[in-house]
Amino acid sequence: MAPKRLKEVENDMISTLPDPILCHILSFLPTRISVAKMGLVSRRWRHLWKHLQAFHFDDSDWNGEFRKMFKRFAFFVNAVLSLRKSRDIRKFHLSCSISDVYHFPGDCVDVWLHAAIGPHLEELDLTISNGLGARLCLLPHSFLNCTNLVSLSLVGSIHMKIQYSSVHFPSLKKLKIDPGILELDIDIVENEIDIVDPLIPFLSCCPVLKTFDTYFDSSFLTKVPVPPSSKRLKSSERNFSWTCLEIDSDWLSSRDSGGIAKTTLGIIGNLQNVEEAYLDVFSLRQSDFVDPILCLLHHQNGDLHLLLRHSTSKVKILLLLFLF
Amino acid sequence: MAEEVSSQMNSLSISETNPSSSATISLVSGDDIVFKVEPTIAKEMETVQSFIDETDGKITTIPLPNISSHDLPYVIEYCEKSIAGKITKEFEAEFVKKLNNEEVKELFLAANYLNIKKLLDFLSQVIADRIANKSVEYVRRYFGIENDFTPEEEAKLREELAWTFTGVDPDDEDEN
Repeated sequence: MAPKRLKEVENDMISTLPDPILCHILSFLPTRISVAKMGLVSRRWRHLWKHLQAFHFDDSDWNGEFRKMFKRFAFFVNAVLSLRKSRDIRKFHLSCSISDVYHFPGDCVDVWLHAAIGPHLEELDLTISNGLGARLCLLPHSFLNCTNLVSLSLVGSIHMKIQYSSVHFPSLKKLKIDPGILELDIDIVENEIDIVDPLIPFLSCCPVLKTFDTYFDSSFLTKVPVPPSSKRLKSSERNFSWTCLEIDSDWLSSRDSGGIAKTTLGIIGNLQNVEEAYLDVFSLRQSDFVDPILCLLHHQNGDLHLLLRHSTSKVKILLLLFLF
Repeated sequence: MAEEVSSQMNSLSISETNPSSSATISLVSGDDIVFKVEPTIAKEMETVQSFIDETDGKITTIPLPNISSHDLPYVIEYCEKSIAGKITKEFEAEFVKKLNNEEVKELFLAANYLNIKKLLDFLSQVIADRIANKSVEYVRRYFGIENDFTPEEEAKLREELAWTFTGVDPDDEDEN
């Protein structure tokens, strides 16, 4: 009998913890569960979710016909965001696909982002897919005020314009970003600035970045001219330095129309401290199950050299290189 | 700015006069077992650190009446890994595999009492994962909560929220 009694005492202890601690547990659950399930537990738990400062919205939690599904999902997110009592949002995870633009405008996503954005935001994780004419989801300019951001993940149909001078994320440690999301807001003709991947000025404004995760596809290799040494950037006042990954391959250059003998992936500034970098190379072609690099080494006359410049580093980079 | 500087100076002067920076600290569990730990570990435990700071480091034996000798080694293990910067997904998966539901809750209470943010976050995630796909009844049992809704109220609430319920896992009873 004794162990059972002890168990009851323990149980009592956790449920008598103050609301903020219970809310802390809720903040690790999908928001739908915090609202719909935990709200049914007891009178005290009924309204706990209203004090949440961390939200996880995922439309895959909703079943049913696709068009109705997003409408329900959007209704739920709108309801949660308008009924919450705590105004500060620390974490905001949103994963959804917007495709029924003709019946329900996807603009509400922009409004949700406005709600999430603020000085308290530490984690922003957006995975957005759209189709059937839905426009890109725009990250508002005020996003650049989220200077307490620690983790940022932008995947899918998201777009943001940035300026060199306006980006400053002093606490950002983790960044995952799809290529093409950022656009530099500059007048190229007027300024005669080299076209560089907008990620580069963005990264140069993240002084404590530890994990960076992105990928380049083969079109990036040929279409985006990479400054070969970028001394200009290096000498800028942002303490920016250039790290290069060179892929030197006859095979690559002959397959891509450019005919350039050496392909240089110029990437990721501010990486004086890189310790580890990963390069995953894989093919999206269904017939190729074999590692294309291995395949290349076996069957090609040409050489393939991989070279990562910069030898001392603490930052981990994950590079995914798609070969089409 | 001035405030920031002065608070930095404070913490500086404390660490200079703090004898615990060389000696070990004794943590005494609720059932009177003494655990000797490096002073760096105390820094992970805000409650312990503030105790040391308040006494100017003169007292290095700290009673932790709310934490049992069963739980304290787990807490210490996690803090040691944290200081070494070796908290990986693999470590956390192994760590939690050893723990049953009661132990997770006890450690959660310990982490809350000692104010160890990383451990509290980690265990919150563990608890969240363990209840996410369970029924409301299971959640009540898990936390030891009495249902204070009348059957009518509960039925009405369930009806209101019915459309959000999908894919509930069958309950499993945790062995203790």
